[in-house]
Amino acid sequence: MEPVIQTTNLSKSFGPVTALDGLDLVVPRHSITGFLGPNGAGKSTTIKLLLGLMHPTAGSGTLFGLDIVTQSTAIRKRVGYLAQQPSFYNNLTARETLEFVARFFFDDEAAIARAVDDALDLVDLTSKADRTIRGFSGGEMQRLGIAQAQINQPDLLILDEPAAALDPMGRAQVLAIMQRLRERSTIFYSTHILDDVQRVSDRVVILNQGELVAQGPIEDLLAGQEGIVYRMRLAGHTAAAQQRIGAQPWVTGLKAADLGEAVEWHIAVTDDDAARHQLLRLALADDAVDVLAFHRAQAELEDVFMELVGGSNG
Amino acid sequence: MAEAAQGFNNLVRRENTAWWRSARWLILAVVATAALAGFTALVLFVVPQVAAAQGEPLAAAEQLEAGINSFFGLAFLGAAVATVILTQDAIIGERQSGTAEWVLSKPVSRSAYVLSKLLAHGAGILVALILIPCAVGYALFAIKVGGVYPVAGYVAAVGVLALHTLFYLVLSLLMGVLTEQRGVLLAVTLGSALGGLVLVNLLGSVALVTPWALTNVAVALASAGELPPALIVPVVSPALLTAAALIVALVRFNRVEL
Repeated sequence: MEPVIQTTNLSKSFGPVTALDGLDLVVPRHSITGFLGPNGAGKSTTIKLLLGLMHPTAGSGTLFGLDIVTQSTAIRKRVGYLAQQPSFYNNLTARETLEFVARFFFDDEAAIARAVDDALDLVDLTSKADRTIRGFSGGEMQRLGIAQAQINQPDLLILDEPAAALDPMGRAQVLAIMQRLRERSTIFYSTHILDDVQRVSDRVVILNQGELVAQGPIEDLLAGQEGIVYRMRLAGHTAAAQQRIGAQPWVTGLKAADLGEAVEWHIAVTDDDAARHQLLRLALADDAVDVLAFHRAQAELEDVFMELVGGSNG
Repeated sequence: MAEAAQGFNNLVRRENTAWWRSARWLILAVVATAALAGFTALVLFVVPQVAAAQGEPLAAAEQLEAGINSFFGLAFLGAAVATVILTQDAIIGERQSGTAEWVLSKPVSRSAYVLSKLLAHGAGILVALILIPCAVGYALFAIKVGGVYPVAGYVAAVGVLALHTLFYLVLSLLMGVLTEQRGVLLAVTLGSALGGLVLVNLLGSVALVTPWALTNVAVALASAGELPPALIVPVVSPALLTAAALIVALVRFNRVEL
């Protein structure tokens, strides 16, 4: 199936400054893709290029197979966008703001009214629908931003820092909304909050200094750092078990750490299926060993991110 | 095409709501009318009495001519300056705040964005700063002549006033596209409006191709009821300049990075 977003060598320079350099981006349909990078990495620039708000210096891109330069209006008919710092018409109420947006997509006033009511309900702003947004808090403004971005049930939602300026409850609400919306939309969002990415995203794209440093399913990114590793905590006489496990052809390394009354093994393997099926059985082959804990080691996205980005930024 | 129209109609609706929903347009109309009519009434009715009292009575034709000159002189300058002040933020403000970015992330063309502002501001300015004050002005001239004041010439003069004001509206929008600095926008637009008062007398026949000669055209129309052939160029040329400025604004805005 054709990806929703695809770019080839997409680049943007501002005079001598290269903000984006040769981006080859692929975002599959019905995915939630987290778009990460330090400040100034080129995330917002990428988003603006995709939406036709800026023009590329080099390269090309398509959304739904439509060219981002020559078919931008057609693209925006199918996209919902929330900017990093949304700025609406302050003299309008929340309802009027949503009606204004809805009129770009619907002809019928009844359809507009329904879409507006649904959007207000989705982000829990119904009780504040008829207040002018001049008095809205940052969180309310962000929720209104999500409401207007998805009002036309777009095929693609592009969210630039959707959980920024929100308290933990607000962030949780935004993540829950994103999970609900994935049923009908592909979601491409930039963020600094790595926990959120790990929680809801299928895929990750990482930019650094305008260049793509990583892209793909989040499990692959997390697993790739140290290969497939299992952690096992054991008590008892473990020497024989260690020998049995070490002799397996799919075990490439076994590091043991003494924890006093127990030991913790980090077992690097090449065959995940074999490890899942046999590691525990091999350890418990004799009665001398008690297994206290057993799980596949999961790298944290923050560790991966820092390794990919932190070193090159000094 | 239908989709393009949908976006445009929505923008025009929003701009019109911003103009007509509040009392601002009415306040503008009242202030503009009061200033224009008040000053013209002084010239038409008070100054002749003062002159007569001083033993230097003015002929009826002189009084009327003074009134026409005062009315249209102030109307041209006032409408131009007010237009610039009212529209200076129309594009610059939205570019700086991010509202333009938000609007243009929707399925609407850049041209529709500029044209919707032209249409809505143009309509509001036409009503508040031109039609209402000029209607009251006509009443003053009718009172002065003691009957029906020649309509055709007066309406044509108001049309020329509208053209002059349109030029400054388009110039203000163009500058909002070309720069994000309000100071530059104001310097160019107000500099043109105010500087034109001086330059029109210094440039000789060259002034005829600029909007600065339009005041004289309007006075001629309102006084004589017809346009001398020599003054056709000062009408056509600013119209062409306005059209050219609009085209530049539309073309240039398609390249603006948000």
